[in-house]
Amino acid sequence: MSTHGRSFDARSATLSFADRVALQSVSISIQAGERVALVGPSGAGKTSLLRLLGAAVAPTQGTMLLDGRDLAQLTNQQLRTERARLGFVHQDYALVPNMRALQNVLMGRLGTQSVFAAVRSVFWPSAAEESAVHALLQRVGIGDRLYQRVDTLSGGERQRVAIARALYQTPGALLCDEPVASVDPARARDVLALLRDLSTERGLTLVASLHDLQLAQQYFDRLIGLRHGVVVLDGPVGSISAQALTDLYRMEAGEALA
Amino acid sequence: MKRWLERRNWPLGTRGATVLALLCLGALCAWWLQLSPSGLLPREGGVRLAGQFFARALTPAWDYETPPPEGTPPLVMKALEGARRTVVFAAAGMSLALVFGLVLGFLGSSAWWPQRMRTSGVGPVVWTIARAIMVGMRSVHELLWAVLFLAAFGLNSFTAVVAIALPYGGTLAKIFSEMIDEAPRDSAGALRQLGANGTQTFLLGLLPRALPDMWAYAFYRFECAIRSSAVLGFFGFETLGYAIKQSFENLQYGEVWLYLWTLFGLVVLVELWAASARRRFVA
Amino acid sequence: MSPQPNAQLSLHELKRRRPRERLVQITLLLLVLLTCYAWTCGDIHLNDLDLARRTENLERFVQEDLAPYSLRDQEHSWTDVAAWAWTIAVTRGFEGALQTLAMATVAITLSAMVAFLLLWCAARTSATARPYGDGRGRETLAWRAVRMSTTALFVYLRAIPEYIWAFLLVAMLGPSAWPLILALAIHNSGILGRLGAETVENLPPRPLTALRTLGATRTHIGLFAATPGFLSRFLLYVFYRYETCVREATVLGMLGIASLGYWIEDVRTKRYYDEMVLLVAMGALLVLCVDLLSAWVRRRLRQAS
Repeated sequence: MSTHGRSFDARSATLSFADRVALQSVSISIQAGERVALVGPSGAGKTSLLRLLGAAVAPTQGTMLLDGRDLAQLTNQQLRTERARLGFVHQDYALVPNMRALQNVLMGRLGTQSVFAAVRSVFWPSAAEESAVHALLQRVGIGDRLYQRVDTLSGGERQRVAIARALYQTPGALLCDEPVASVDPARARDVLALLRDLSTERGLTLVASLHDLQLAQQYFDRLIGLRHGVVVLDGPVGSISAQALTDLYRMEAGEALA
Repeated sequence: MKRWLERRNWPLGTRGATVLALLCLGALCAWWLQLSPSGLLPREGGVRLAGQFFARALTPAWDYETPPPEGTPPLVMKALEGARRTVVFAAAGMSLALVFGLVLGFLGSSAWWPQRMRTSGVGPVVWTIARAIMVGMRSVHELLWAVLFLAAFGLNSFTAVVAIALPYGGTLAKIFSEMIDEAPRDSAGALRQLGANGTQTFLLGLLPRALPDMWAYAFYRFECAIRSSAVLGFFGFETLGYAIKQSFENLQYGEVWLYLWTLFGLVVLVELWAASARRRFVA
Repeated sequence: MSPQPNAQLSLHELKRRRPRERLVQITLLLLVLLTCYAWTCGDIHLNDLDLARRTENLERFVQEDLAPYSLRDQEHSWTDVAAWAWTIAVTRGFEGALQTLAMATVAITLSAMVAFLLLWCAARTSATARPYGDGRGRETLAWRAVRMSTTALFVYLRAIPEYIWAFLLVAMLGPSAWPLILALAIHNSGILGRLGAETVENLPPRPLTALRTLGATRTHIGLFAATPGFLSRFLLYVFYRYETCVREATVLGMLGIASLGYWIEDVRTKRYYDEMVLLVAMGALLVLCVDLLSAWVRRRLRQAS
């Protein structure tokens, strides 16, 4: 059941858009199986870094290596194959609301199927596919929501469907964008504990962006702090000083409230 | 000129200015047409006609007013037969229109085209052609299409179907393309992130987001198609409109009201059906 | 409706109890059956088409009937055709188009005004004993009757096609501009009334309820709070219907009312198909212009709100 975890290596990666620079010469190296929390104020570049790690965007300068392979050298087809083995949990879950949880999770394997096979498996899944999805949904705690339409589910349940969809890909890593941003404290601990357990069980590399420093220190092994697109701290949880963390979130004079 | 209009800061706000402009324009047009309240008064014979006509509003005829020739089916059957034909032409026309609408709608939307084809190559050319065809199809009223086809092909039931299908197809295509372009793209983005190719992303990530609105609109158009199909009867096709015209010209107002109430019932039925189906589909 | 969260139902059980959208399934099935029926036994005579003869007819139509009459017996070029087209446009086309446009404008303005007055009686939030979510009283029969009758009125007005209204009105009022305008106004009042009532019902309730608890009367709320909120939407609908009005006005003129439709019918009865096609094309161009105008106004309205 354990998948070989994936490793990420960003070397002086800069990500700039027409109107702003999201990441400024970021160099980080994440080993297989690590549990990393990305922290930092809003707009620091956490989502951009996640997208970079997820091979969704190419760095404007610098290189991005996935399991030691340079992403810039890959063809579109090969990039798709790489992405298929990276699980991404989006901030607003990005599910199809008028379809059932089962169908949404089945879409996880689209990266490895042809168009015809994909349509067939989403609308007419075989018994094996259905029980595989059922098992996954049970693992994340909502097994009985299998046939419910996603728009009838609560926010927390939808998040778990999104996690299940990522797991269905049998990925080597889980990248989570603000998994507990709009969740109450008790649920937040539930979700983070789930993510941590999944990472341990399946040997997945876990990278998640968080606001809450306490939760980050509790459920993750390593912290990477971003501020204005630059990495300002990076190290095991125990080794980061409280002062460094306060500095991370300090607002400068004249900085508008987000 | 256009940019000047767009940059002005309208006093009263845009809404107020629009309302004012509309009222002024309406008044101006009324003046130019030399409309006067006297035009609202029915002419000599008109008063009597109106009186006789509206008197039968709540008492539609259930049987022929003048005995028909041997072998004519009963009046109610004639009304139902007219209704049946009306629905049949509408359904056939709509099914053809759906084909046009989906094909042109996809080709004419920008979200359908994969990223690399969007700004260069075949993409923009086909997109422009699709949009031009859409506009051409829907700018001509279905009755005018019917008139054109009558001149070219003569009276034939198929021409009624095509006369409905062309403008309705064009309208469906335009609205569908807009719905596809305005659908939320988050789920499509998620599918692309997990490695799906363009077609899979569109079919499973984007299209399902637009489908409830597309379905609701198509159903609404079906209701309109029934009305259009009825009106085509005035031009010789054998739908409810034909019966209405005949009976009216024969001054048999009771029969006219029977047909009118049948049409009303048909439209209301379809509308109720559409409303409940739409509710279930969306949530 | 959904299973208990803690019960561990087996997959088989879950599948058996899954929610099925019966109404949608039945609807789709009925529609498919209806379509098949329509194409096969609905008296649509495809074989009547007799392709060979019809194609011949079509060729003759395109080559002979469509060629401009006055140029038929001579050698002519595209500039001649353009000149011929221009003559017709100037003598009849432009005036007809303007008349059509004017009548459609008056009609849409009228229907907007009528709909604006009546829609308050049809909206669930304004036409009740306790308007705007006051919540204290119960539903009275009188208000229910008001709502239902207004809604029924709207339904009736829009169920009958404009052409039929126009046909009846021309018989009573004679072939002047009024029957056309009234027919369009009647039909569109029903549509705009219903759309407007829906918009009022979908307004965010809290600001209006707040005003109500402060003691504002229904009219006050309607004038000062609800109207600005829903006006953008309502105007969007008005301009969307404006384009349809112009399209319909072009056709309704065929009942003998001075407009583009009148000329189209005129040349049709004379079988001057060349001119007919030209006039139809002009009508399409008119619709296109109004479409562009309507789209621009709608875009401005959206930006403003």
